[in-house]
Amino acid sequence: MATWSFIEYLDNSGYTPWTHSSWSQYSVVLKQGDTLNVNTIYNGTNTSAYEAQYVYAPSGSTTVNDPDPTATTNNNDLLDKTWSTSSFSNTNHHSRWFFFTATSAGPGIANGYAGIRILTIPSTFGWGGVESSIEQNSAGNAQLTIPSSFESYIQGTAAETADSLSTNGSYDERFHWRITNSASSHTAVSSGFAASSGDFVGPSSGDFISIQPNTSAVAQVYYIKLYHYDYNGNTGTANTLIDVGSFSVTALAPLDTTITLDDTSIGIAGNATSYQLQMSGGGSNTLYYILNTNQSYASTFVLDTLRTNNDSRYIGRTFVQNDANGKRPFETDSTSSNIIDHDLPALNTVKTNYIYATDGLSKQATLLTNTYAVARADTDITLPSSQTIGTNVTSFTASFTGDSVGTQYRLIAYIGGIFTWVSTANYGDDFTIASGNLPANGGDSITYVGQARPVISGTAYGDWMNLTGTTTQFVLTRATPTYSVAGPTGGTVNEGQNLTFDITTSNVVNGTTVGWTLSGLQSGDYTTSASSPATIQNNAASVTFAIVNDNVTDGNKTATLTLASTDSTGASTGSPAPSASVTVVDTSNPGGGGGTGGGTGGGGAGTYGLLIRNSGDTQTIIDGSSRITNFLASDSIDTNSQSSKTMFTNFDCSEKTVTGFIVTWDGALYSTPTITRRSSSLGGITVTKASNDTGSATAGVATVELVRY
Amino acid sequence: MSYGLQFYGTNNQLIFDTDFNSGQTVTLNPYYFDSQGVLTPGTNTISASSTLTMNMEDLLFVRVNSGTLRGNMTYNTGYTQKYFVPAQDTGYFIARKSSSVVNITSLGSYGLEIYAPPDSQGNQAVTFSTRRADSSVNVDYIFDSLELTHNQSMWSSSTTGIYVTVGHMYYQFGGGTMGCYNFGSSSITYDSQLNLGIFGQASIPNSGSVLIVSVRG
Repeated sequence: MATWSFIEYLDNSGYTPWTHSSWSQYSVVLKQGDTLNVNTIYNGTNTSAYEAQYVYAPSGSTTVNDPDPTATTNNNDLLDKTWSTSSFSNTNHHSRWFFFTATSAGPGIANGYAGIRILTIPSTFGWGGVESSIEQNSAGNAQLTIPSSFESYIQGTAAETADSLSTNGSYDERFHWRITNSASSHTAVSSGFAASSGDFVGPSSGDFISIQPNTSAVAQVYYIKLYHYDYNGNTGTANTLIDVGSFSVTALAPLDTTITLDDTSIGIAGNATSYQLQMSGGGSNTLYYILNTNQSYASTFVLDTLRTNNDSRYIGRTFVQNDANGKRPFETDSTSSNIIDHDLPALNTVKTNYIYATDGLSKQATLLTNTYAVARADTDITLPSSQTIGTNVTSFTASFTGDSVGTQYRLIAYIGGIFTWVSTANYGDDFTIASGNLPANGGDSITYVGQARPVISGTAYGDWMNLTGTTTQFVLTRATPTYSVAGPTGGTVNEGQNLTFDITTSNVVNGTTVGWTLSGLQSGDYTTSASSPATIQNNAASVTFAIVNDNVTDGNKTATLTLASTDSTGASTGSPAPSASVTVVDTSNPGGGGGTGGGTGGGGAGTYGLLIRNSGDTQTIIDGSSRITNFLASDSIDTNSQSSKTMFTNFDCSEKTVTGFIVTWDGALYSTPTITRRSSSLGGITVTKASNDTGSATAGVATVELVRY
Repeated sequence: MSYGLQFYGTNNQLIFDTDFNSGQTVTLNPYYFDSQGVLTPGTNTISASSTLTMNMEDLLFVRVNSGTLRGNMTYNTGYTQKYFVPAQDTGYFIARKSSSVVNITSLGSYGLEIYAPPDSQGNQAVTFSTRRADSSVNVDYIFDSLELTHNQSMWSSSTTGIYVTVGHMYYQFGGGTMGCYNFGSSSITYDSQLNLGIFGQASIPNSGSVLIVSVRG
């Protein structure tokens, strides 16, 4: 810690402090921890002068940055005292000491005043970071860290009620830095650096100096030292030293001229104002520049002056090292978010740019073999409008307008989970969308996105870019299929007739199948060669059932054909699925008739008839819906001795809806006799021995029970 | 005859007719044999491989809840009786004409009885009697002779309470079937196919009518 001592003569008429330099408003600048001794001596002529005294400030405080209250009296002369303290605050940066000459009766002698203003540098002020290793012909920073509470005091903007500090910024305290070649030296090196000493003027935290060693700087450890100015306006001494940092200068490595550009054919959209380009490879000691010329530059020429002078040759440069992915962006400006925005090509034109390597000081510019082309495509075209296409469309021509020479166009689409290059068109062409890239039948849709790329040269193109005009994409949608089902006109069909359901569709491709189910009929109610699914041809299909006489008077039935919810393409047939119902009229009814005395016969319907309940009256045994089995007669034939036999001639057995025969047989299983119904007028049936019933091994007895129902 | 009794159902289906040609109409009623072999109104179950003995004129109706319905029908020498041996537990009833059963005493002494005209000896058969039946056999579907082939679907509704007729039935493991059935919960198919060894298999159509019936009451 330093000790600062000086004499302050009490010969002023007021407390106005003096300053150590014209740009400072402080008398004394010292570091927290330093010791300050002020020897006040009255040197006036007033014989009433008795004693030098101190005014505690502010507000009479005796605790903050005030000197020892029991000042040392020198030479037994109360007018010669030394005021001291080593306890300057680390947070109360500014203090004011006031001295005056008192009589034996108390204060108040003209021209016996003095005052000083003290700035205390906190211990947290100093180098925040120094580049540890700097290559010759490169640069590294030494950065300041300054407590925010301290900044206003060194920038002349701090205001205090107890003192009249200037607050308009006209005073800015200065700090000195210098580079030395040893830790103990305070002498700046004389060569090897673009600058080896200088001042910070009213600095802010984060301010830095650029350390730029050249090739004459010996590769070794150097020290960068930070000083303040003392009460004499001197600096660069051990007492004024605030902080020391160090760094190593390393020997200049050769430029790394091997890089790879991410893209050598860059396309930009018609309305683009910038583009991006990255490189990989290269060296950490090398800067890379993009110029639109390929001329040579002297090794001492600072290529960065093209940038700072806004020269038309300058396109961009690297400002940072490779990132974690090994990529280093080119930028026109260091604050331009990795974009290049100088000298962009006009519409449908190409520009070629060149890469240079330089050292860290932008010198030794070396033209590399790397070049790239950047071209502007016409991305403002008008695509077709979105539309619905028929189910029979197998190829679609998408015409577009607004295209121009020098740009190629394409359509892409997300088809089947894959981004697909659908079609390409040069100037004057149309897009052609092939069948496989069209939406599937069944209402499917596909969005086609237009892109453009500039023609660089021949068959070399720039990157594909999305369109920028009013239309950038369009949608094709397959027409949605529709299904309906209809039964025969009138909605009825009789037993013994064909029942046809017509399936009518729209927008359904030939060969599409649709499933159907029939309900309301039993399997024995009909025969059919139709099977589910039905195949659609020309937007139509039909399903036909031959309704049989079921031999049972069981009333009308409702046959319903219902389509599956989706067809074979997955398209919906409707919700709910289409269906049609038809009444199947029961024509097995034997009719009324009745006995000769039976009047009109029939009957049974309506509210009258016969109802027979069980004895407990809990269940119906017979009512109008009953179909009762009646036993009529039985007979038998023995084919051992009979080839045929006529039975039941007393009964009209001509109608299978009226009579039936329960047959038992003990002959060969495959030799059962056949039963033939005789006409109504003849009555009965004929039971005939089977043709393969040829002997006792096959013959047997067939017993036939005649029933009526 | 110029007189008698007929009644029809609401769909004009004939239920009863004393005037059907000879006037000998008798109404069939469902019965089963109880554990003592006594003919009892209603339905029952016969165990697999048991023998059900019936009069030749009795009509046998059978069912299973699900699966194959197979068995063998055999006959006595005089063809006065027939014997059914099912291959599985089988629900059944026999339909016997009213004239061949006696009154059910529990039904009381009143009701409706219809007699046939007297025969040459002056006997009158009971053709219909509410005293002899507390249920009836309702015909649901009819297949005429030769209409069915092997594996043909016969019924596609619920098979609960549904019975099928047994005329002649044959079943031999490995040999084939004749006049058998396959029951599902909502299906009945015809099972009638003989295995002919190297000649393959032959479908045997139904000989005589096949009735699908239910018991009512």
